[in-house]
Amino acid sequence: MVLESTIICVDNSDYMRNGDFVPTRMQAQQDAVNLVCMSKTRSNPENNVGLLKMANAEVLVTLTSDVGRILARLHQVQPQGQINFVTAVRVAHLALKHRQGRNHKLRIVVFVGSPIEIDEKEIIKVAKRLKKEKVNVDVVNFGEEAINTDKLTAFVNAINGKDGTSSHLVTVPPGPMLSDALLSSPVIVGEDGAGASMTGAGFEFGVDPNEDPELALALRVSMEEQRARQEKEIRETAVATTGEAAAVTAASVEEEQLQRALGGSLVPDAAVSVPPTTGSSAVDFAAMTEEEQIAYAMKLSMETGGEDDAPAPMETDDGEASAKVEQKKDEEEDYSEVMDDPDFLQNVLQSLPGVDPNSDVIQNAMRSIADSKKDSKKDEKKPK
Amino acid sequence: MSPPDHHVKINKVVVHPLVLLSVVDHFNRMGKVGNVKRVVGVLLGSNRQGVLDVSNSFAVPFDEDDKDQSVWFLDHDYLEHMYGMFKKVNARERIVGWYHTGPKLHPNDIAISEMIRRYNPAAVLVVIDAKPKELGLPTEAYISVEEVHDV
Repeated sequence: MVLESTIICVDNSDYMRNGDFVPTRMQAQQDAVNLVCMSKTRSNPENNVGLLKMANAEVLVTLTSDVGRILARLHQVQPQGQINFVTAVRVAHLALKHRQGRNHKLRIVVFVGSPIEIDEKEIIKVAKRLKKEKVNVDVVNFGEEAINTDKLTAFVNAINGKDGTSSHLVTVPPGPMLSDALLSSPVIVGEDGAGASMTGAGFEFGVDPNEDPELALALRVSMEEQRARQEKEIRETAVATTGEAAAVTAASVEEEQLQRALGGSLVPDAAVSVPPTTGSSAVDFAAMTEEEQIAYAMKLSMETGGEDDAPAPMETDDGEASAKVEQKKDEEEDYSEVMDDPDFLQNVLQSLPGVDPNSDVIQNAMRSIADSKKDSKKDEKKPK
Repeated sequence: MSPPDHHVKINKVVVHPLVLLSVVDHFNRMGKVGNVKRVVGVLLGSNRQGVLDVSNSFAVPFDEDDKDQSVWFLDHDYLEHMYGMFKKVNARERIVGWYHTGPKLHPNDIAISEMIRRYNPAAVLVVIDAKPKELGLPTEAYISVEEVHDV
């Protein structure tokens, strides 16, 4: 997050009409400039970027943080004339001197795509001057590498001096990849590897934590909740398969549903035992008959205070788990119909391991159900 | 009141005292910083029947390299913004030219004039001497004339 003012020098000489970079050198350069602008402003919103065209060393856009303005002027640039490397760099330095951010670091990014006619001595002199003024220069060498590489290497080395590493030279061979080559280069990535990932895809969830921290946080939290839920499921099936008699107390209704769904779904496949809620021996769904399954379901639902979540199978021939799960919605109707038969209920209760049919509570319940059944029968008879 | 005509050729330039004061103040400000080079600014006013009335001015950030005459920088974004703000309070004033404190003409004045010509094709340059040695008008006005040379 370096606080920096950058001037980008674009080469707008006639050499930029060349098509060795796809589609033309000028277009490839424009994409690359776009990339650099974005990366500078993204790494620190207070950064300023300016634009200069090298052919007659004219400042197109003075230092600003408005990337739109820079791009607009950039697209109006036409290839014309010949560049003067030294003049351009000097004017860029002057423009940097008149920056608003007095504590910003100074940087010049130069795109060179045409042969430099200037003497190497002159170039080194400029480099030394810039080094004294603590300006860092990144040079992107493309197009005319053969002629320029030596001079530019000398330039960058002179600026860096003995120990400095803040100026870089990037040489890009011809091809369609000027911007791509820059993406991984030190021009964008910076000295310490910071400031890379440019697009939203670089960030988790496609959201920049810097730009929208709340959204990023919300996404992360929901992701973790989902993960925790899944882990719980996996843990429970794992526990079931080992057959431990772990007392997994049914904390919530949803958990029960989940267990049953899991157990039910595994009925056709393998013998999966769902951990019991009361701590009695593990119940093996596959081995139970239809009736036993119903009984178990009823028992579970009774134990939770009659909460109506037992996936009572509607059609007894259809013992598929999916049917059970789907018909959870029709529970109440199923439940009431099944419950309407007190004899059946009595049978069930007697077969349940943990329930004492003679307990008062059950007797009361049975009586009330029987009464209501009688009442409904009476009602049915009356209208007739 | 007849509208100011822009196309009549200028034969006289009248500089208001406000402009002179402003230029000298700018020069002294820059002098305190230690930068005793010349200062550059833009002139505002109107052209009435060949008489250019320079009524206001403002300074612009300007820098040049002493040794290399072709290296100079003038902040044109600042110029445009400032002019826009001036227009808000006095719509009649237009950019009519530019000034510098010379005291003499410089080789890159032509290049700078070209830049100012983008805002007004008939821009004049007024050299205002902030430290005059003799009595008399401290100002000298120039217009650029294009000549075709047979080389």
